[in-house]
Amino acid sequence: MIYRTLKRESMAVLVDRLKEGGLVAPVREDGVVVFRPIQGDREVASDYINPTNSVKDVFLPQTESLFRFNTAEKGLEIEATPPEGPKYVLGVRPCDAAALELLDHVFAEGQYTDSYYQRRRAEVTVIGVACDQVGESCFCTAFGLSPGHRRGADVMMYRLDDESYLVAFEGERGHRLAEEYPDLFGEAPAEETIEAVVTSYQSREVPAGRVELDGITEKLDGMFEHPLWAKLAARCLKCGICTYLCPTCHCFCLDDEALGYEGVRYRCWDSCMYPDYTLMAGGHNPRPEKANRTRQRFMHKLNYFVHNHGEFQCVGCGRCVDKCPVGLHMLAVIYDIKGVDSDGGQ
Amino acid sequence: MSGMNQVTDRLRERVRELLADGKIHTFIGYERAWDPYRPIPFFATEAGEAERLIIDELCVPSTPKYMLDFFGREGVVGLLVKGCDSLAVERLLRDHRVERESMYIIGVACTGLLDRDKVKARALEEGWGAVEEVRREGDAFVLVTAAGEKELGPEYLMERCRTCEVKVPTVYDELLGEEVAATAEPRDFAEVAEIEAMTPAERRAYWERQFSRCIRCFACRNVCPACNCRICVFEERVPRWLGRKTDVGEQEMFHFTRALHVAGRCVDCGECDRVCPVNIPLRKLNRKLMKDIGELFGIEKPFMPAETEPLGQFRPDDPDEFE
Amino acid sequence: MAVSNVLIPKPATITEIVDQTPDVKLFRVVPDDGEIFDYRPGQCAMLSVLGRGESMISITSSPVQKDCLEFAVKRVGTVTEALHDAEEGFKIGLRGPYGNNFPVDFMKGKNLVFIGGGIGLAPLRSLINYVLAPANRSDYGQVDIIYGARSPADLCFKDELKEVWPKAEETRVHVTVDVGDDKWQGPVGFVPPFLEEVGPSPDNAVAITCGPPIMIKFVLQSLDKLGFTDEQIITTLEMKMQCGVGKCGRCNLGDKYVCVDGPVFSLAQLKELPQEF
Repeated sequence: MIYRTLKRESMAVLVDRLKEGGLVAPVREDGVVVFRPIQGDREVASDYINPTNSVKDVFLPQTESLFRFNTAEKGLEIEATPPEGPKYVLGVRPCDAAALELLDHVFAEGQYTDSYYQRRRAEVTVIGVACDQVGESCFCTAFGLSPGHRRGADVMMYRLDDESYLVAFEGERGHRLAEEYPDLFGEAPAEETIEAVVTSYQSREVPAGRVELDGITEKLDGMFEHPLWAKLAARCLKCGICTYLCPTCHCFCLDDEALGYEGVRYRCWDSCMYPDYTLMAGGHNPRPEKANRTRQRFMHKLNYFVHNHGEFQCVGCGRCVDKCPVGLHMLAVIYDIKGVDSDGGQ
Repeated sequence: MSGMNQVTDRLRERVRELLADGKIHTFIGYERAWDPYRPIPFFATEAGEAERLIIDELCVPSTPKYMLDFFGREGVVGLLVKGCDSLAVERLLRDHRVERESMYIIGVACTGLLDRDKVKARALEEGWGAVEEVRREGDAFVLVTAAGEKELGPEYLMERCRTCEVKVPTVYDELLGEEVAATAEPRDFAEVAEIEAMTPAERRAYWERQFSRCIRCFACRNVCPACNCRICVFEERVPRWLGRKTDVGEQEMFHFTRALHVAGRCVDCGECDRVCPVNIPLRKLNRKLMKDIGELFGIEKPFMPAETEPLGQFRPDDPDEFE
Repeated sequence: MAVSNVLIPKPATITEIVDQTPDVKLFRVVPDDGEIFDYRPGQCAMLSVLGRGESMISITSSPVQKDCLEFAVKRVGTVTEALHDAEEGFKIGLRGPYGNNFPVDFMKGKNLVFIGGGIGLAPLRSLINYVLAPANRSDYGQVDIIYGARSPADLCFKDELKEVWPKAEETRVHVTVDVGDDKWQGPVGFVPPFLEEVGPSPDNAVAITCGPPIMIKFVLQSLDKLGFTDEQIITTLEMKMQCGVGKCGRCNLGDKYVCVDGPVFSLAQLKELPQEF
């Protein structure tokens, strides 16, 4: 871990340099802040709580080419298409950075790993910006994170004063960035100052994050058949907002696109909230009802994932809270789960 | 002018009776939830749950589309329906997707809904805390919050409510609240005129930018009362009309097809705009078609479901610009 | 650096196609690089028809057969339809093997009762031929194969049912059809009552069943009547799958992914899982 400072006016210079290697950062566009590739004079947004889409878009793109194929002359050639993308992603909030380590459980650990994902993780430097504002829907502290947490980030910036940032560089990718641009980064401030700044962020109050999660996984162990799921699911619109904006949801489908002999197989996001997600070729669907799918989503995040990977599959970024058009989001559901008898009053 | 909260007690009483008498098995209304500024659809199935129902100017989500979830199920569903929602009911009725007898509609006269995001922004800025009640006093809205009563002017109305011409539901079994006069401001298409003023190249760039943000969550389609096909064309597997791949071309294929499919059938409820997580101005697109249809076919209120849809019939004197 | 990904298939050739029933064909497949992966009975592989998609299909050949992989495919959807339209020599994509396998060690020394319906014989056949192979035969006791289909024409692997398996050592084959025809002289009736009629003993036995969900449901009841315990009953599950490696999310039962932790489960294991299949 090394610390440096960065003048606020040097931020623009840093952005210009990172742009050359390929940079994704939040931009404000038509009243919404979204992660976008930074090209030309596109301005990086600074006053936002969290971009509407998550940093997942960089590491597990919504559409990703896996390979090209050619079936000419009754043959078959298959050619892998190496992952493309930026080298840097800037303006990542601590919750999103931490979410990457949850995706790692799925794509970079265990019996099968995904080389495209791993390559991106190895090559993309995650530059975080600690949160000056805490959103009404933020609840990262419920998952042991905070507005100044560094889990999953290679670099984290904290506002030091009106003129400059305190910048923490961690690990190989972080250190490389510090070494690459020595002219931009100034000497670290005194240790007490570092300690004070980082602590002020990490101990920042997150009101919605006070929700208590102890015992919820165990409670859910016995709630598969609970009537709560149908009650919750009644208002679901069957859209994919919650899963697509979620920085930790990783479900996908594979899809071929071909013209003549040539084509591409893509990996595309899919959503457990879509009715056809589990629909089999013969017409059988093990999750035909909204209640089945709603149960799957919340059980996955609060129970199944915990059993498989030892932690919740949620970082409290609050996107589902903000964007679900009918309030069927993680916080509401956590409170509802806590509020019912686990046997459904039966 | 009085607010919708005036009828809350009567609403609860009626729903309690309807559920207790077995006249309906479910009532779809609203309850105040985790975010009190954003009441959510509430499905009461027991008489005792009627107490949780509320109705006020923050109760925005449209209820009728949920009727499709009850398709093929026995019994009657009760619905709380505002003016705009009643057009959605009519849409589903005219498309033969619900039967009138399967609904028991409690209508409520609405004088306009609050723009939740605008209200919430101010509430956060000024530290109002939770909201407990919303009243209407004259032209103003009074919010009873944890920090006392707060008054909001008509500038906090939802955009779509400014020019609303259907304040009283057009279809209901019983109506709660007093009759209210139709719109304050005449319906115009100012935002459509902005698009029309662009050059083709500008227009192209504008829509490309909008649709390049689309995440294909299908919330706009799923919430839309005019999007009520049994199997959506975009769900068909053979032939495939829409790839899973996300790029501007595919997004445009989706949005333009949808816009044309609901053209002449859109009731201008604005729900597509509300649910879009990435601010794609879908209502603007629909209203451009609505404006054109109004002008081309001489229809005064093209958002009103009619006996025959302008694009659902042929007449020899139809405009034909391809001649 | 060579780029690879666990989701990229290898080119393979359909060397032979054998019609089984009006809607089932057997495909013999050889990878173009000549390397047939090691697998165990019960495992599956992903078959791609490029441009159409990919499907998880159980491997019906047995590991003792070294020259090719065999897949029995019923025409039900886009990919299987494309396979049915293919001719010998057609190139497909192949990746695998995936999933767990039948517990061949647990079954050692035991009598085996196979109960199959329709295309459900495909995964069982891999195990049957593994058990009946000379190298393995002495590891297992009596083999009973109880099999049914909608009609005589819908019986898969007719040659093996008629000519091969009945002649194998300590092996009995019992075949029924839901509805017979002019030529059919065997038993007529559904598999579950037929199973009870055959009445295999649960003593030192394992029952392995695969078939349509409705058949499985009643077979399990019949096995219970015959005295089989949940630990003695093995079945395989079918779910929609896209990745085959536990990442795409859709084939889970609770915290288990059928593509990785299944498709083979004992009834005892299955009863521990959420009933969502």
